[in-house]
Amino acid sequence: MGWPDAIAEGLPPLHEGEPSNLRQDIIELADHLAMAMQRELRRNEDGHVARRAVLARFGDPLAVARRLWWDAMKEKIMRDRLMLVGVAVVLVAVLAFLGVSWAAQNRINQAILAKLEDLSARPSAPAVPENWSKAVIRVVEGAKAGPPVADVVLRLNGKPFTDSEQSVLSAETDAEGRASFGPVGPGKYQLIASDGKLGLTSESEVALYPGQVFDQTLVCPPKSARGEVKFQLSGLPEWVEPGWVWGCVFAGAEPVLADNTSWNAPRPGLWLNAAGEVLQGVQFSGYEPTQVPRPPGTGRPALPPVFYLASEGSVTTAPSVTWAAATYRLEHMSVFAPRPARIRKSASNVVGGRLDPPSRRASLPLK
Amino acid sequence: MDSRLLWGMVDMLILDVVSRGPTYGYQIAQTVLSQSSGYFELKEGSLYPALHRMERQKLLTSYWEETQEGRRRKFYKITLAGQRALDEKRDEWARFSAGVNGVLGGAYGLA
Repeated sequence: MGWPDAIAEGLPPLHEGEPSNLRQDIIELADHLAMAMQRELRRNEDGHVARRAVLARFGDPLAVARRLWWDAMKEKIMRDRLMLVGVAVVLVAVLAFLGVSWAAQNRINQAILAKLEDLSARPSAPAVPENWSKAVIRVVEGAKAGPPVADVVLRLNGKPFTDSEQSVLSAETDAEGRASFGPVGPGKYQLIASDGKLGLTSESEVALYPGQVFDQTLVCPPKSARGEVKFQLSGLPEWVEPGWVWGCVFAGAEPVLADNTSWNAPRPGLWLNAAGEVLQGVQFSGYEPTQVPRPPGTGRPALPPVFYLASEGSVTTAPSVTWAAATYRLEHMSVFAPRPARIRKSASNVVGGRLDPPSRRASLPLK
Repeated sequence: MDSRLLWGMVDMLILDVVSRGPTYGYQIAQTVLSQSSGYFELKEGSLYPALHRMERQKLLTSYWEETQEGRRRKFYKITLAGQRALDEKRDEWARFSAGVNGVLGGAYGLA
């Protein structure tokens, strides 16, 4: 093996970033050794002896080559190693930072989660301010200690102190005669109770104060203060024919006082047939201001306007009605004759008629 | 001679030889050996680390030529920086040797 190959074999593997001419520069040692070999061969023809002499004067060529390579590369190798160490340190620092950040974020997330769980476990905040009021109304019959009255419709009309808009709250008494309102904004309200069975209404002023639970008992007239009313029509004109109906309107009665509660009787109106039975389900529809010729020889007045009666449902009859004990005055009464041909044929629940008397009103004795 | 004494003078001797004209490693070693009458007999291999170091320090430059035998040979030339360094080393050596001679002169008749 020649000097160049022997020296090249002693060098480290090719290093990344190694100058391209570094190994060629090191091969200059081969030139030196070759010349030294020539010199020794001139002194001694034995090649082995000459070679030993060369190496004795030169030293170990491989060691020299490795030293030259290291001298040339150590700065770069050390720089690379420092860079590697730096990168490793930065990497470790970044990983440590990420780890610490993750741990911190994890703690924050856990805290948020715990807070959310805590919040979700708490009872939800009231939808209305705590200082709003409540109203509990109880309706009883006859006296404060009387039995409860169910199905009484109660309304609270008014507006809270802090609100400009009118509000209407409605409730119905339950089997215990109790109806609750609230929470309600504090303010002045009008309490209206309607007894659907008797048509009585009671109105009173109610002031609800912040945080107050308003409690009031309304006393209805006792059942004994209600009466069954039957009607009988007598002294009817001769021209009234069977099947005609009578519309009756009564003036409002005096207020009915039950315990401390004042009730207003309704202004009743009803339909009667000639037998005095109460027609239910009849509604006034309109009239036709046409004139009907006077029937010859009947003595009926001429020019009666034609009225129509229509009902939403089928018309039924009842022998009587139940009213609260009070004084009712018949304000006026009108009679209508059926005239099916003049009304909507398709509506089976329509009762037609016309006013035949000269006056649309007739006051009749009510018994 | 004691290699520790030679060690401090190798750079100056190399620069001095190269300053005379382009030359190569083997010739530098032979010149030093012959001009010192065989006194400075250093390991020839230790010459090359010094040459490469001075080349990296820009005191020397090099180039390649092909010999008559077909081998490639590396020649060294001194640079301006190398020349200045050589001058400084010569002055330093002059002061050093004068000092040493001044001390030793009385005993060895060098003063």
